[in-house]
Amino acid sequence: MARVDPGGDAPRLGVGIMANLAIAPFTGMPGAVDYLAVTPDMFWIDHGPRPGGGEKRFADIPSWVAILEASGLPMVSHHIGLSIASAVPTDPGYVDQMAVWRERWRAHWLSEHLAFVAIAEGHAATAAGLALTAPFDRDVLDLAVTRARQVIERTGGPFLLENSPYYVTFDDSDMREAEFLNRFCAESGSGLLLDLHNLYCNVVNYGFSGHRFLDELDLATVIEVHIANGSELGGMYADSHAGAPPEPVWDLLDDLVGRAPNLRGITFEFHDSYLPQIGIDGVAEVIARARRAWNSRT
Amino acid sequence: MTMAAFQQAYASLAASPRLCLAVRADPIGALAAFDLDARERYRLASAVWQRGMDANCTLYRATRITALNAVVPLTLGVLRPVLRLVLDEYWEAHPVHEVRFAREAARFIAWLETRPATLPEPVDEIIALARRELALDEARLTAPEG
Repeated sequence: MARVDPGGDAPRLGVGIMANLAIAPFTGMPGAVDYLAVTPDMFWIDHGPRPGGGEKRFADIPSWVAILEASGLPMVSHHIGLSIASAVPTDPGYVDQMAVWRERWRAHWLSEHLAFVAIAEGHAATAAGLALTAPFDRDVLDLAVTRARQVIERTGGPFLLENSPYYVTFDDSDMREAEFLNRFCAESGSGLLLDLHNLYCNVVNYGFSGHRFLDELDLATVIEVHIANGSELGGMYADSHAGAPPEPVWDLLDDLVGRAPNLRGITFEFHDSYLPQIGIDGVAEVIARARRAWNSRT
Repeated sequence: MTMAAFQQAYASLAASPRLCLAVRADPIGALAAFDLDARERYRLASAVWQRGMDANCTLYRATRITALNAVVPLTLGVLRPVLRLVLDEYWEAHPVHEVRFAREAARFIAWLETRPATLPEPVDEIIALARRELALDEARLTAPEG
């Protein structure tokens, strides 16, 4: 179990929101949120590895970067391109860019999903087309730990791993998910980004107790929480970020906040295409309710 | 090192409902192209019977159509009567996802040009529309804010 706070000297930020273009007018209002969570991969164009140097690999998308320039809010960096559980070699240029981005925007911490998106194609790496969850095996754990250490060393910042929703299970995995996450944090020095809606997806699809899952986790590793909503997909309940969180996610949040002593932030994720349904007022209500949970911490 | 082969095979299943059905019918034969050990082969042969593999296949298709819809939405709209057939053929020809949306769209347009018989008339206008949408997307991404 973790003995050191994996959040390091990162401040306790409060309640934030995942940045997108549609929500920019809301986040621009004073006091609307305490911080922005940003998926940097949405803010740049990646022209791909440049073995011979030459043209710059990563280029800003001005309309997205303007959100950050205008907000003035604290920021945390939530990546989707590290492919931490992938068997193909780490992309060093991507890790360099994580460090550049963190330095440029003073991100308080970085995070990535427990999944693989890069796969082997001949002698090169290519994209799988979706994020897939690997079995909770010892060799996958070793791979992820090594990669997380590389990121921490290169970026100098706290690094968090997010639990993923999974739609296929491997019942003969070497360990259970909670044990995998606990070992990952203990062996890599990373923290946990506990996505309560991803947990809820797995609860719905596989019929176990989310609260008991929390009991199995080392909650001292939890630095950030995600809350969201989902929808039906191919007979499964999926993490589609479809508006305000459902009640069971709030129940999990209420259960967690008093037991996670190193929690730094609660982030609301929703896809911008759902803004017409939830509305700005609906977003504000979610933030207000999350603030009540945040303030209830003992 | 078979983990890489396992991940490649798992991703290939998510990309191809047809391969999933083939593995259901003949797991050893259908997975023979991948350098898997017995445990990995068993895992994938079991996975294709899980309800969630349908969800993975759907997510794969949603990811790929999102890339095209972000860059050439009007073109997809014009192709609507034949879109499913066109996309099935395109994804069969190019099963590897291109994460850079503009490059994915450019590859799709180049492929469309080789398939005029599949497209509704006027084919030349549809291709021209796609190229204009791609150029507009590139201009939008590089334009200074404001």
